[in-house]
Amino acid sequence: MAALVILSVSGAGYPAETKIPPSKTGAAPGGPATDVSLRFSRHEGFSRIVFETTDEAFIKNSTVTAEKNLIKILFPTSLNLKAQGNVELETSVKGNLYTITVNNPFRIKVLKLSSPPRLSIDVIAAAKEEGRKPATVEGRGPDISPNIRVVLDPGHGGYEVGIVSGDLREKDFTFSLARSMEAALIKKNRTVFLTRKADQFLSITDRAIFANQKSPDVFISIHLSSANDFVIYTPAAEPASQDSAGELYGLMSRQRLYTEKSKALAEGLGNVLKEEFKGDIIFRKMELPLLASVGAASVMVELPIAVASDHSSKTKLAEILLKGIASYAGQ
Amino acid sequence: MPANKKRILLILVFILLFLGGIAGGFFYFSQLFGFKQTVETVPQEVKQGEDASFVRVYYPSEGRLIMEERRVKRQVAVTAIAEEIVSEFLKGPSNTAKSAVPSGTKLLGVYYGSDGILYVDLSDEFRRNFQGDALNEFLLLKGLYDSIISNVTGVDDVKVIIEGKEIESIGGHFLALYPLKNMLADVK
Repeated sequence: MAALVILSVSGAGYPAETKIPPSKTGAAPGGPATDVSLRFSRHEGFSRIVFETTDEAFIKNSTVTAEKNLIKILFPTSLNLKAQGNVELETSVKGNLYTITVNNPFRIKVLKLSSPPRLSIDVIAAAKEEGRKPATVEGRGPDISPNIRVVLDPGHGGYEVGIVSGDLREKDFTFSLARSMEAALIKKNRTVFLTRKADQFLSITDRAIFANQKSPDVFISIHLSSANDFVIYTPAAEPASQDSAGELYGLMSRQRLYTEKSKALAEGLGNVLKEEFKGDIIFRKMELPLLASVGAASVMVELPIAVASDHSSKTKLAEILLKGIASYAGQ
Repeated sequence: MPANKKRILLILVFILLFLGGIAGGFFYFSQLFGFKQTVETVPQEVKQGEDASFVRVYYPSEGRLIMEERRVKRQVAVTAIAEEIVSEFLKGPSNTAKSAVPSGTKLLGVYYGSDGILYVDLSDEFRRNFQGDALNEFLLLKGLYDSIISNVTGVDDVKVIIEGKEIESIGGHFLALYPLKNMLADVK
């Protein structure tokens, strides 16, 4: 299974989601030159440049920074580059420093992968991506308070596909919906984190640890339901009592101080879903380990396959779920 | 008696004595070293009149658990009883077209720990072919747990392992790293 590290930085005035350690610009390349093959491909809205080698440490120790109109990639040694096809970007190599010049506003997504070791950089045209964001989210409905921190958890991922129905795969839909919500929140300068930023497997424990590290106010795990109704799960954890203080140090009992908040968040989401979709909302308390492990108002929302299969519903769902968060946060 | 006839008679006596010695030796040594014919017992379906017992098996079906009584071969050992029950569980319910038990799953083994935990080792199909949401996964694990606990005395808890190894989760909603009892508290 390929290990995956995702970093994402922005250039040309766009705020960084994750900061990359600054490169040691001008550092002398250490050791002999490393053979690196370079691939370039252009996709709708972004260009991808991939550096592939046989040395895992070489990729691991490389750093990527984005400054103004420059993307700087600092490798541990100098490069013996073998380009496969044309690189349709303005690039230069000096020792162990590879530079890409981008004239339009952009942000980059950096992935470090293994088997084979490779560094993948997506140069995303900022203007185009903004064009894909759901316009309806902005300026409509109650707003989410600026100091609210949101963690969104797209269910499943990687080899764990989840529910499959025709062309619909749970791991893809949950990721796509979470990205739409993330984009809308970023546009409003709200703080939002995704537990996974690619099609990768992430364990339940890793999701909980990530969420707790971000100290969120709201945690929503997004899944699909086999039933025809929306299902909203809240943790079954009992509220903390005085003699249970010791247990709070354990990961599985972090929820105990937040059960009432989780219930309120579930009601906020349930109300807006019911209003928009006119269907029944099933509220269910269950000992789900992920919800029990997060120290925040936490719910798991399962969306009916029929709604998810409707390609036009994603934008609407993103808008509604954000309205639900705003409804909770405004209480 | 001519000399030739005497010689032939002596040769025949020697041959008979030699064969008798071989036969006697084989009999003696086979008793001494325990050479025995092995008889393979082939597992058979429980037939009418055979020593059998009824067990209650709980199957996930359409958002709930349904109970079916199944006739299985009477067993004494905890692991043997559990094997019979898990095998019946993996067959799925008899009265629904589509079983919620992941298809192709094989029982690889059942181990009983001194801690009272029964370890059920299933093939990877149990994880790979699972298709469902949180409730489906809950019912799958609860059905397996209830089927064992309600039929096998002395078992305190059940833990699922896949291909002999611990895995984090079967379907991405519940942890399989721990025994099931605490995880499967009733849904409200």
